[in-house]
Amino acid sequence: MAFLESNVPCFSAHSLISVSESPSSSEAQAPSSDDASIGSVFRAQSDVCLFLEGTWPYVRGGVSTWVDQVIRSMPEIRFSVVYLGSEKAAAGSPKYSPPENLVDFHEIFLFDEDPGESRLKRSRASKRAWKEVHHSLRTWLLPEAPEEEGHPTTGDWESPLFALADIAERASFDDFWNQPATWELLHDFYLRHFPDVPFIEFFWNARFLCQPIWRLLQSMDRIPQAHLYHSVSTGYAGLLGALATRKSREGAFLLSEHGIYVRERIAELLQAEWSAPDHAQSLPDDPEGGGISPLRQLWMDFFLEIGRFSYQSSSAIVSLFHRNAVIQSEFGAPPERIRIIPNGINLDRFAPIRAARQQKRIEFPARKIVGFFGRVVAIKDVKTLLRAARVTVDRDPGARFLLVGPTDEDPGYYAECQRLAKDLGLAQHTHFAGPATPEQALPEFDLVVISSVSEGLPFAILEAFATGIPVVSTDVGACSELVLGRPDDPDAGSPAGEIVPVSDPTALGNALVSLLEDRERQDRYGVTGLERVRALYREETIIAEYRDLYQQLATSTSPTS
Amino acid sequence: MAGIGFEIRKLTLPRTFAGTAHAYLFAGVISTGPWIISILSIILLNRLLGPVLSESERDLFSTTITHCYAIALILTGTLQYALNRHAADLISAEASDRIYPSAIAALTLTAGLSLVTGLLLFGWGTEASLFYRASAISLFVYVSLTFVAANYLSVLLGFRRIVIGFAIGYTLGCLAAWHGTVRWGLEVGLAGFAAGHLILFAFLLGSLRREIGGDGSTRANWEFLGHFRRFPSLLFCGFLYNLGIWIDKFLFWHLSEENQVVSGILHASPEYDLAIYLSLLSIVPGLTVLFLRLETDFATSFRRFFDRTNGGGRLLDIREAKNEMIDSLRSGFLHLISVQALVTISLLIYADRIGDWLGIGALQEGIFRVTLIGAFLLMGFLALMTILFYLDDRRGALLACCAFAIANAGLSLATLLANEAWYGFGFVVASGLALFIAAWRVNARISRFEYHVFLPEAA
Repeated sequence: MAFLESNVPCFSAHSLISVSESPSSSEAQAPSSDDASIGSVFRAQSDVCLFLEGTWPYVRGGVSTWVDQVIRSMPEIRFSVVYLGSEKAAAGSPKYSPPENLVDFHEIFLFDEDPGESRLKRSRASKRAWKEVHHSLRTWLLPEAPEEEGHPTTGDWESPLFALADIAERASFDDFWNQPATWELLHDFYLRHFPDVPFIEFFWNARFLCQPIWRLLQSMDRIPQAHLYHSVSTGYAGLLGALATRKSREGAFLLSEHGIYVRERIAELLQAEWSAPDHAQSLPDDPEGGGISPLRQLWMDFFLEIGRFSYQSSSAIVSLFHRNAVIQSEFGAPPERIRIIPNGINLDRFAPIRAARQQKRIEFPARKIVGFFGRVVAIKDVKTLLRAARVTVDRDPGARFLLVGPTDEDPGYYAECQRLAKDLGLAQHTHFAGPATPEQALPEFDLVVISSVSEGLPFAILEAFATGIPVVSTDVGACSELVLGRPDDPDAGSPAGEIVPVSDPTALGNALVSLLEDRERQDRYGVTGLERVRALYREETIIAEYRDLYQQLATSTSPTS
Repeated sequence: MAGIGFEIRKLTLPRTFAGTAHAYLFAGVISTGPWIISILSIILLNRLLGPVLSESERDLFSTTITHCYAIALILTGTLQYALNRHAADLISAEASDRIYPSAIAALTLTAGLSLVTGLLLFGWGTEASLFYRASAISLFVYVSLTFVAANYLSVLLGFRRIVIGFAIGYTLGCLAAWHGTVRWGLEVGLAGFAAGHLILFAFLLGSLRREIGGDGSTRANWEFLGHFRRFPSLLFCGFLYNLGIWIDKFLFWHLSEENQVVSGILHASPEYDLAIYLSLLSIVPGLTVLFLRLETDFATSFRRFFDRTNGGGRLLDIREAKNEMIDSLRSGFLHLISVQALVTISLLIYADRIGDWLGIGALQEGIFRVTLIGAFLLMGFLALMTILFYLDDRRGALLACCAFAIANAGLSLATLLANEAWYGFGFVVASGLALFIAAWRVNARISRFEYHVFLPEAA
């Protein structure tokens, strides 16, 4: 892809989907490109293959920061990346430049139109192959003895999926979808599990559910070879990573999660207003059971199942903090495989920033600037922050709010925030500054606020601490662990800021006011935060832990290379 | 947070289905309409001009008109299904403003094709005066244009305009033909008949322009050629169906023992021709029933099926709608068959009296009886073909048309080689075979209709 070719001209990485356009050229170039790739004829052999869904290099955020950090900090490891996106057209341009040690980059867009013609000829052999596929699908999806509950359950994923993968490499999704036997399967599945659901909705949902899986299976034979397969979430990335590992038979599978994919998807499904043009009345959740509409339940079950499959296929699971580890095991992760490796930060970089901030604070002893440092998107709940700003300014008219970070990811939400700020009469007190580096932004902040409704282990807090800035945060993800100290922390008793409930502008505003008033407390918190980062969240330590883990996993299997 | 974003957007059926079906109905009925009119006008002109013309002149005149209609029907019939499909797709894509430019392009194409064919048929293949041949060529071109224009108008449901146009055009044409012949001779008569068609065509084109001319732009739009590539089966289907209808006549014109060389390559076989034309006229009542029943009951239940499916019906509801559709189809077909059977049986019983009244011979009367049964079967075939198009089974329609054309050619040839007693049986068996195949395909298609509706690209 252009992404790689721009900086690493010797590697002609190609999109999995469009590989058929110029297979000869890309295959011809690869062997001559890298001395390290001895033993692999057609593609660059890598040490670690990362599976990234909707993140680096196309989308900014914590996960992407982490991915970039990991690849760049381990120049001795050759990485390959399989990127999973929704649609090519919506992906935009890469936000990160390719590191030197990225040897292979593939992208798969799960909801794009079918890429080209089927290569499967009508023959007796293909007829037999389809028959086998449908047989294994039927025994998997419609077992003879139906489960007691109405929900479709899934037993063994592996054999039917590999049967499908075998034919998916040659056939297009429409080939599969148009098969009369596929229709019959769909039909029987509907009658068993969803007889009261509008059929047309079931049909399209089933199609949207199956098509991405087919895309994944189609690309199975072009996954880069690696000693270690590492998915950075469950979901489609986890599924593909797990399948690729099982297929390779020699690699190990590492699964790391910043958030909890399954939980985020379920929350999304519960909130989503599905577009149902002519019959919107049919989607409200089942009124009698008071439960969830069967199709939403289907999607939830689907994500739960592929999550469970990924967890159980893994050799090791990494969680950012303890609370997430508990949730992962609730979603089916074997607890003994989970280990905790938090995010880390490069303290050297932040020493001059800290000094610059101290300087400014001495220059302006009366300054009261609350800093927000992140993307302006719904999950960060900027609206609650703005309402809290109103509360703060009412009690302390000298307070100012500086919101730094990209605003282009969800322009609609950004516009709503701007309007809200205006309606709240905060035009003089708040400022959306757009994206900026920590060097530019952090010296301006007296304290940092996190108002998110969901977080992993936010870099914004680590960066604030590294600069000596106290943090007021909602109680999500690892935030309270960071601000108040981990239970196993030697100085757990000393806070580095305040924790407030989610979506509570008054509590957030009050916490901000009381901390803004008390510079001495701000400095005390700042020192604690810096100490905490030094002790527990150093980039060197984290990278070393990952390096150990990579080595351990790579040697535990028997790679042939 | 990682994870791709997506939403489920498409929750309706593929668009092409419901809208297009309608157009095929008119293709079926309209292609039969001109064919009936042509038979009527031939018989009428024969009667009108009988007293004033010599026998050879009368033969030349009626044979010329017969060839004009036969070849024009095959020529325009080839384009018709594909053009209708294109127009219907434009309507369902809410791009009706592109229909008029398409019609202009299609008429240009038709004019070109018919001019070339006309030159070959009448310019080169006929021995007559230059004026006569020029009149014949222009008649042929106008007839072809008229069929295509009427077809477009039918897709837009402009039936009233079509009827008015045909009434005006044919009245003027027949009057001019009669008056011209009496006054100035055969050439002028034919030119007058052609002029009637020109007026008819102008009327239809004007109606089209009034209906969908929009901003008055007359730029031709050739995008329907894409439909020719996408649905070649529609072209073959149209060609084979119309060829099948005429192939037995062609064979009789050239190979029967009674055949006459009228002029150059224009032949005739009066015994067979008159008998079979009379038989074909017998299906007018059936056609009327077909049109009315399809338009009302079946089309309604067909639409209800799609409404219920798109409207969020359960599979159970969809099945129920399908069963209603089958019921209405069955009762409509029974209605059609019983009306047509009544007509056909009456004609069979009174065949001898009709023969006496028309003054036809015993041989013709025999052929008439046999081909009456053929026409009955043809009626059923035509009805089922229309249903097949409603159900979008292009492959099935092609299969039935192909069988019809091949069987009619082969079996008619066989009867010609046998003896006069067999005349007409080729047509009967071919129609029966086509009816059988079409019925089989309709049953197969409708039993799996949901599958085909949801997966229109599947084979």
